[in-house]
Amino acid sequence: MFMFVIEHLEPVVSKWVWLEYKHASKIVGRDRLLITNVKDRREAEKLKEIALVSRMSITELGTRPDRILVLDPKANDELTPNDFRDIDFIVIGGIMGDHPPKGRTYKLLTRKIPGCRARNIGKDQFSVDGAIYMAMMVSKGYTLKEISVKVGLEIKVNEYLTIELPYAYPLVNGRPLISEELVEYLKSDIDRDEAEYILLGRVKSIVEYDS
Amino acid sequence: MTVKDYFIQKGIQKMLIDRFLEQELKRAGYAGVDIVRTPLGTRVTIYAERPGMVIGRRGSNIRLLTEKLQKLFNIENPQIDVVPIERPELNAKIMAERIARALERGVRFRRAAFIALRQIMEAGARGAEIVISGKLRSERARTEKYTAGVVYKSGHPAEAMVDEAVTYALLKPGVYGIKVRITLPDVPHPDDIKIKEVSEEKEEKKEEGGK
Repeated sequence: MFMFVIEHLEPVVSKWVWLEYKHASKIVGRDRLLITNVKDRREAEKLKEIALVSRMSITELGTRPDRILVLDPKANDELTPNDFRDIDFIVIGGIMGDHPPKGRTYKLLTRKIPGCRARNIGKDQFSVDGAIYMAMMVSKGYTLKEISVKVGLEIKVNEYLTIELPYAYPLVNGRPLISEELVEYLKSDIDRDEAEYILLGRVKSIVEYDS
Repeated sequence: MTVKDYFIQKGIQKMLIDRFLEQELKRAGYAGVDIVRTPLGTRVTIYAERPGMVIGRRGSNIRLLTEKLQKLFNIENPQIDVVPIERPELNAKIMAERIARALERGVRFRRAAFIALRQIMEAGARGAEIVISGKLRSERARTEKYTAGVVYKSGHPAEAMVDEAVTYALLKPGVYGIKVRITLPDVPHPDDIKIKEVSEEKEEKKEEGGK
């Protein structure tokens, strides 16, 4: 049985990162999710609540590259159910996307594992939890065409304010798959946190919220 | 130089001067510039919320600006006029800058945007839209859109009745772009339909004709 791996590639585990990882853990289960490359000891401890954690990168774990499958939007081939044969890890980049995307998965991940298999799940950028869901569905035998996807999400906060997220979201029972906690966070507290980040000059780690 | 090249170069130069003045006169509430060549030289009309700050003590700032425009942009004998903006709340550039400055001071961006939106509408605008988009490190890029009233996006009304401006807030943990669109109040709108009152005489004539 293969493991789902999130190679954490952001400088900190921000609240947004945490909520996406937490939702990913709900989708595949704590025991099948491994988060790698978590350099900060306190962040690693915190992430252990939702997944298995390694402070080393997947590139340093000594796994055979031919048994690693990387999801990379820049890969030439689409992910198919057959790709899950003979693999130990399917790796998703723990990257919070730019719009338009900068192709960081290739630069920071695929390029560093020569010999690995790289596959895409479409030309659009998915959230980490969305990508995990797509991979899980394909591993169950669905093809990408059989999974409905919505590109671009609008969250209406009130009469005057709408939040737009330019990413792709898989549809589950006709509704885009996104963490409820994340939607609540986006609707309520994010501007307070961002004002604080601006004054601090950096984004706060999730462990700083607890202390 | 072809005619086309000449006008393109003029357009680029105007844009560069606009950017330059925007940087130089940030604190003076810079709102725009008009550049007209006259037989005596070049008349540069600067629109600003606080003309006193553009002029400076005994005209010191204006003298410096004149020198810089001459040196940096080869403008012949620039004659600078400073015109105050009567209703800064109806000027998109000023409002965009106000929001950007508020963000840099660490004001919660939703509060800054809602205050600006209320000020614009209270000044008599038919409608307004404020779009704040960007990305902080370890967060996803997203867009927040604040709207009130009617905002034309295309066609003649968008060109003639909507004042539009874009500015940026460069912050340590990331960058925000701020776009403001204001539907001005004093311009006749295509939706304004007036039904002419029919005078009694005409009505009588109509009735007679009908018989």
